[in-house]
Amino acid sequence: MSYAYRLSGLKLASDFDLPGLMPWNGPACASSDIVIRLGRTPARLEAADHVAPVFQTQGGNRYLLLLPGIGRMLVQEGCEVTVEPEPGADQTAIRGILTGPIQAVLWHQRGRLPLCGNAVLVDGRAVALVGPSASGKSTLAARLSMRGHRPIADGVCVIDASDECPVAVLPGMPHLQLWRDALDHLGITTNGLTGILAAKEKFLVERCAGFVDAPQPLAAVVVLWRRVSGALGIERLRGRAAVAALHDNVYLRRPARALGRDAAMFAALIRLVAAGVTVWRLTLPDNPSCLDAAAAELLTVLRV
Amino acid sequence: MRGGIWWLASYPKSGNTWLRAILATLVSGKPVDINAMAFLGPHAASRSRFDRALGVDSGSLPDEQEFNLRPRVYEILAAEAERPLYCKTHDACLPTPAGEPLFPTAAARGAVYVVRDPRAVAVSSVHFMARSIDETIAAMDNPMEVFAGSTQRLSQHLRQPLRRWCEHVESWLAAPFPVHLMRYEDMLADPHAAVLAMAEFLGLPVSEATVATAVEATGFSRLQAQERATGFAESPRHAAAFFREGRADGWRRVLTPAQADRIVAGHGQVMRRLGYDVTLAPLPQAIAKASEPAILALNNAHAVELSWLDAERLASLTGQAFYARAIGEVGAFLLAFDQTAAYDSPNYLWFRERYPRFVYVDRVVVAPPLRGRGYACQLFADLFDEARRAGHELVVCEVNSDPPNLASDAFHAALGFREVGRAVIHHGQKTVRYLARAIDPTR
Repeated sequence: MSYAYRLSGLKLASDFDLPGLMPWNGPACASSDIVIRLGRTPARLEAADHVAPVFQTQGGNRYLLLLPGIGRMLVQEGCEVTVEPEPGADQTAIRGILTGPIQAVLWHQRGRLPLCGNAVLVDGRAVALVGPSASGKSTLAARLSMRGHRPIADGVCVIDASDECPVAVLPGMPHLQLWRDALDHLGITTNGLTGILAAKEKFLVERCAGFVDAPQPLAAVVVLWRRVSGALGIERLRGRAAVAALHDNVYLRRPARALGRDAAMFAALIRLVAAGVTVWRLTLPDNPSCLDAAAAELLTVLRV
Repeated sequence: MRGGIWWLASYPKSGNTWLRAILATLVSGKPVDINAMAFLGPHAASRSRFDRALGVDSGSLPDEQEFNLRPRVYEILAAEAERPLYCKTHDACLPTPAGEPLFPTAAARGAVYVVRDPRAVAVSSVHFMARSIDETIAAMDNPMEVFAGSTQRLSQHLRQPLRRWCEHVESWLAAPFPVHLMRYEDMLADPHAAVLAMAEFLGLPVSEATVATAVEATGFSRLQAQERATGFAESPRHAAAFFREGRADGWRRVLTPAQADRIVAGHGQVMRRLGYDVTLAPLPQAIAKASEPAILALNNAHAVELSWLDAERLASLTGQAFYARAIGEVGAFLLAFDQTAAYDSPNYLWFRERYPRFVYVDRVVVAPPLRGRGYACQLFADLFDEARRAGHELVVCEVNSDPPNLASDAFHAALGFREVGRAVIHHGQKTVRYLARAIDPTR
């Protein structure tokens, strides 16, 4: 294995360079919890329970992703990923899929709840910003980080809502992934930043020094709802509405359901809400000048 | 097929939102709320629907792989829908890079394709996309044109190839499923018939009364009023208003002849096929402050006939003119006053002494390289319309009779002017004939 990373306290060994993840800083002899290797994969799963256009599952522990033009990725038992790229496949796409959807599958298989979003620390507790692609999560996290709230995960925000401990966020990628457009609005130059997608202007942005390794107690989840126009607004969601909004933003909900995670996902969401994690819906107009006001308003309601 | 998808397709700025408002009213039986039309069905290019349907993250996919997977999304949507979906799309109806149809036949019930005169589309796009008219016309003629194709930001919509405007139209008319063509202009002229025909195509059981309700609830002024009251969530941030004008021929007051010519040159064949009059020309436009230097230059190149002007005098004349319009980048202009102007020309005063109300043509000129295109006729026809609209019954002017100007005499005679008097002016140096043309208030 050429690369070793630290992901939420786990050691991840990989044949692929995964920019944005923390390099492994523990003992070199430590055994790996998760392994990503280059290798042969089946063209389809034998006795698959679920066959969708781009993925198949068998039981709860085998998931095969099939992306024509990129390759196949097999995830097993929450600890083993085999990647078989197609000749000439875009390497940046493979990395993006490994750190995004494949990471989410690993966490589903490991019994954790990956949400589509990021998390920042506010007064020593985690606040998760979740929402569909292009809803402005990372840009808002960047704005919060400029006010001193460090990001502890981006892309995949992994929640541990198991019974034995307080509901927490597992620290993930400590960098933000931002597009040129957002960087321009934030006044951050792209000079020296690492581009992470071929032919696209998406960059890794380091927003803090140092490193958080331990799970951080979760205070709130903010569901972003980007509107093309209209007014900024924030409202508390409770009970069933809160659970539904969170369920909408589970990363790879469809594959997770195919892996038999439906009941466990709901149980985790109900536990999260019952444990007093507040859930908010932030209506965010598609206007960069609203970002600062959104960050300020969010901090105000979270601190009441 | 229990669900399936009806595609609501159009080139951008062709009336797709209006179509959805009508359909939302027909389907729900209630007057539409323009901010609650999502129940019809998702946008074909919705990024979040793509991600959710496939269980993969489109943000990490290269454009080509993303495009190749889109047909799978529609198969899933169509199969899982409990009732027919009505999904908006701006994509051209063309194969994916992998060579299969973007809109799979098995998932499609059919399509309603709304088309609008590309000259009007160009003008409407300017207001929507913060681009100049020339850039818009070039984009509409660009085979590689895409919507939401920025590589600098992640849009909520996937990249949508549009191709050239005429290719877009042809791609949909050749779709391998039933397509109902609706012209924006016909929707304006006879909304009742247009809505009825669409409902029939879609197999919607509607009565005369529901159609009447839909037409009434989606009239342009009603949609504009809703936008003013509650805003419109689909309107981009730089657009002052989404429901802007709702006219078929507004472009004639905005495009220059050269711009209109470029659109016809690029798309004329398809325009003719759709019944758009490619011979229609742009109309004269109010003289803008920015074009006053060009007006001055054109005027002073003909100072012998028209009398010399400086910038201040021109501004004062246009300021009090009844009519001050030009064609193109000032290839021609006409200036006229009604009886209320503070104007000291002896010819103007001659008319004012004799007629209580009139429109006096002070000057009209066409740049020599642009003569013979009918610009002067267009300016006069437009002037007669304006005079009629203002309740005038007489348009007047003078022509020189000594030295004579035969061409001018013939031109004015052809326009219906007749002589009403003569005078010798400028201390005997010039003899003029005074002409008048009656304006028929009924046409």
